[in-house]
Amino acid sequence: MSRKYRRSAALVMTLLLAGACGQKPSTIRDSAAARAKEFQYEAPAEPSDEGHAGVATPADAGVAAPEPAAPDSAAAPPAQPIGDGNAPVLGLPAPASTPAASGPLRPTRSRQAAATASDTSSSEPPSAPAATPASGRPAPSEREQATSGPVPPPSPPREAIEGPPDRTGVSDTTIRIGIHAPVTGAAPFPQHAFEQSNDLYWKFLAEKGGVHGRKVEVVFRDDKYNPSSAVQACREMVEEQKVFAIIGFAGADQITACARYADSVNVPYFSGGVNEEGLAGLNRYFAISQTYDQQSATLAKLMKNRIGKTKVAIVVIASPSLNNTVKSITSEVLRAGGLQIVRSSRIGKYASDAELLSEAQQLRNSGADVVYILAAPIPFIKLATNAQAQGYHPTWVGPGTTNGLAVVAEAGCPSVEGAKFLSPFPQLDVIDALDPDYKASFRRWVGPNPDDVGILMWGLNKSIHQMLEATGRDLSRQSFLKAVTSGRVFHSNVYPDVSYDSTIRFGAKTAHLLEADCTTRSWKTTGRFVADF
Amino acid sequence: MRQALVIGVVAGSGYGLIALGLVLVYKSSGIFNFAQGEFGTVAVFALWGAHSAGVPYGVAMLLGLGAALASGLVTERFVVRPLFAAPRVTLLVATAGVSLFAIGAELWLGHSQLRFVAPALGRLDRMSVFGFHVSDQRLLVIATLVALAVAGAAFFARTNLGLAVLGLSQNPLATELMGISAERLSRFTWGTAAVLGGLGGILSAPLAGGFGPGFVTLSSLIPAFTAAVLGGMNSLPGALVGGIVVGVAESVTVSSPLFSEHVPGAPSVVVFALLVAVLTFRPQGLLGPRSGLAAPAERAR
Amino acid sequence: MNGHSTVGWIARGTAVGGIAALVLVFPLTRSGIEVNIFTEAVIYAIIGLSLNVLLGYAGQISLGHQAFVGIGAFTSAYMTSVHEQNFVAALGVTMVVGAVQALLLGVVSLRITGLYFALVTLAYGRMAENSLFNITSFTGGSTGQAAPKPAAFASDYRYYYLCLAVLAIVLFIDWRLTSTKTGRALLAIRQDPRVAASFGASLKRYTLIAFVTSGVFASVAGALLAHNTTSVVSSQFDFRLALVFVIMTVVGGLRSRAGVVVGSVFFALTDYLFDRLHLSVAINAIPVLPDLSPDLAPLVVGPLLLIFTLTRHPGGFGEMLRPFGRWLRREPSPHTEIDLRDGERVHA
Repeated sequence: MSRKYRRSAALVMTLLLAGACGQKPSTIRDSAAARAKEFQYEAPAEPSDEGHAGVATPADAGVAAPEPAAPDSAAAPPAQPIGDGNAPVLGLPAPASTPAASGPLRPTRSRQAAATASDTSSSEPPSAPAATPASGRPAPSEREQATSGPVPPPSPPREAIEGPPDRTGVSDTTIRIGIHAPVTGAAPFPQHAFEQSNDLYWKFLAEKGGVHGRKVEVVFRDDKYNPSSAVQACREMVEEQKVFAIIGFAGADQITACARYADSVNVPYFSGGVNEEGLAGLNRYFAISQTYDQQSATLAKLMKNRIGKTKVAIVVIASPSLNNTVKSITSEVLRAGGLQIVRSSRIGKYASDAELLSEAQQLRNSGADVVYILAAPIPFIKLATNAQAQGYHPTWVGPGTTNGLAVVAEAGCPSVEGAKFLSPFPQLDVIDALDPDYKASFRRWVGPNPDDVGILMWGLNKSIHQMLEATGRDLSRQSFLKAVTSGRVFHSNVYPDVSYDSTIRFGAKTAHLLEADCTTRSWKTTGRFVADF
Repeated sequence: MRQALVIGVVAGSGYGLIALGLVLVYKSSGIFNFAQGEFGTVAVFALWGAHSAGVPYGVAMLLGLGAALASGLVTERFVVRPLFAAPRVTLLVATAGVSLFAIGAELWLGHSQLRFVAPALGRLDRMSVFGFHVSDQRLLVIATLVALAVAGAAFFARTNLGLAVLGLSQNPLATELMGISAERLSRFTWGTAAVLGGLGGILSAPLAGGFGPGFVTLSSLIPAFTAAVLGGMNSLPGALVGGIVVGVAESVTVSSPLFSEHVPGAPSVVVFALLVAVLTFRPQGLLGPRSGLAAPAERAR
Repeated sequence: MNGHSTVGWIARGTAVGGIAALVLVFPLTRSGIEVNIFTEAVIYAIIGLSLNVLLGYAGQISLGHQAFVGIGAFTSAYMTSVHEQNFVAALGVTMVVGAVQALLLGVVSLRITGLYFALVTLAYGRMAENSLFNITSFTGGSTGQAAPKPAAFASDYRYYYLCLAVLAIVLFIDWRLTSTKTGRALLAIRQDPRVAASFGASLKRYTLIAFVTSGVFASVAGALLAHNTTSVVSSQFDFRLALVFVIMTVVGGLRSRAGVVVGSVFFALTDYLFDRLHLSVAINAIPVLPDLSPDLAPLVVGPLLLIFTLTRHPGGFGEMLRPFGRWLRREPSPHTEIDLRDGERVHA
């Protein structure tokens, strides 16, 4: 009896919803197209043939368009098992000009034995909601590179922004900026670190008259170290608080999620450099420091020329947005020559102790002298500590993330002795030489003990200040973006110099080198604004 | 592979220590004590707080155990005693509530950041088994586990107090009639279980490379329950054996490339499979009575 | 109050009208983001009802319910974003997946009962959290999976009404379930399986039906949840969530539909209310305690309420609402009530 009722109720519900929903949601179609576009651009994040095969995917799905991958497939060995999990492209033809442009861009590099070959497309980050694909884009030009690093993705050119100037968040006296960072959630950072100094720089600036007569007002939200909450927080900042632009301070997943949302609603978004996958192709996303991929070349040279050991292991968190980074570091290490990759593995974001113990053991067994690690502070510290307990002391190296924060040195010593990390921000030992205003402002407005999380935020904010300054008094989103992408170099002397143009969104070329000094349980800045070793 | 075995024994003894407390509570009242993990976490927080404030490590450890004891007694007074006659499932949910409250309180008062506590014994490479260095702290965990398991078994088998505790679980009325205060016994049991939990937390926190709110519950409670079930919920030595088995199972899984590369989170799958298998094929556990499950009698429905 | 008087009618009408206005009209006056929060409360009510089928009707404890919800969420997200299906098709697949995994667990429950089954559900939830939800091709790993809203319900407001409609359907099905043979059988089984068996009720069949129903409700709720935030990530479905679900169902009052709905909504809105009513200011004013942020409030308040409910007031919200419900339905109040330890009330 009841089964009948259940079935009829289900049927009624289905009919109702079917009637209401009808055809495929429009957002999906657009996002699939946007993803298709992304795929053509993001795949060549590293000069490997995976990138070429990635670009070949639309071809596999039967897009009737000039095939961008054609010249490249000839150079690359075929048959990459890509495209299984990839979303089928809805037949949106690729822009006609792309193949001509992308062909000569691909340098022929030696094929590497990528461990995670098949993962490129099968584990895609979420697509941008309702991204509008621009039609008729001009050919993307190659991004300039000061360092001889991997060829960056040719970012799509800035769209011509039409319509009346968008002055949301700008008044005669204030500019409202939204900031999100992890305060609660399983974040490895000290509780109030992000809350207490996120607007320190703007307070300092207000005293000096602000920027072109305007003060900057900060709206701060906790993103709970979780991409869903991050999007909610960003939505609130955009829809209710009406911010002019958004900055994301830490947490690659949250940054990726928010950046995609911000781009879909035409809000400029800035963050320190993290992954490129999922962010390349967003017109309004700007990385203020080098991305992980960009740092691969520098790190490979560091391994070869500074450290001088040859056996290298690569350990990266098993997040899909880092797949390209694994490829980029692998290829850079091979390219540097004289280095041997003895182990390459991925560990879970919330890896259990047993897993980390086992990983430490296997690293030791592999005999690696240098370990490239890309993980959040907690798994890194646990891994290093476990290694230390086994009498295994490799040199840990890695790209600029939050591993360069003091909390890692304090907690990780003595296991992390000698670790070398690239970082967008310099540490407390040199900040006075680079910008004496930081510590003074911290002591004045926050408390007696300046910390390095504050430097992270100070530098980011200061770089944004340079950009606001360059825009001038007539401030709208359009004029701001125009100034930002004008090719001008923004010099904060805290973060590395950064510049963008119509296609480049990852605009930094250097980073700082931090080394762990366990006698003082802190990081020493042994290299400032370096790109080479 | 051999290293995996050693790692398994070492990690499993941590589970075993928590399982001891679980078995104790079950033996004496038929309750699955969900809050056992949090007794451990509370103890670690107290230890860290005291040690950071300059208190010597040994004293700080005692303070930690004291904090665990206090939380155990509070739980007994406000949660267990009022629900003495309620169905065991209700008590399970209630202790789950206690653990959630503890986690919430830790988050509130202690925040979510990672903290680190030094081990009690410093030497890291006391012995090397199959190439795996076993530190002093790990040996301490194993030794404590063995000692407590043996002592616990002797307690229940040979002492009057132990007999009284067992009697309480099987027939409270008769026990009371014999002049033994059920209330006191209950306090004793929960206090001891809480101290056991606290000990487990304090000894294994330094090995975990960092702790935060709820870390014992989140990392070890389910494996500890599996260990207890595997060994036999009524058997203290069983908790030891069960802990080692679970630890080895997890560790072997992690180190086998087949599993760990293709199945994310393989250890939890193995633990789940182990639990279901034990409950299906030998519910009384490895060291349980031959004839089958003998749970303390259910009280009123 | 005499049920037939004019005053009585007007009072009842006002009460019903007030509730309807609160649920249907009030959200229109709030911003989209707040409506988002209300929608989540509605979805939590569905989850509470699904857990109530298991816990309240079938007497099976599920400490891994976040896995049921999460599987629904990821299936729907996966179907809509990776496989490009439309919302209805994705929902269909979600219901099937939810039913299947619940059925599997139900089969396990036939063999392993009571406390031990609780453990199994717990281990299942943990396995789902660590293993299933980390299959990156399915769930997008730590970046999560996108779950766009269906085009017809793309605005926050419309989506809210959609979820309300689903809640109404779930309530209807739940009502039919209990007032028919299946429901009575379940209740009888829960009271005493041996007596029920002697009446010919097939324990196995009805338990499995309960599991499947619960699984379908939960996975639909999960799907709605995913689309509400337009993305879903595995770290959302942790063990704490399972406990919150159990707490809201128990505090709501087992076997009382209104109670479970009210309890679930209350728990979903705790941090929102805490924030809006500035309760955090009140707590922060107490000098010794550090600041309590609104999103910790449910974790602190919830368990306290749970323990209070279990020890002092086992009927939960449902029991408190019962007189009100009787008044609305113009039922005479019972003369005697037999009060059973675990909250059952039998009207004499």
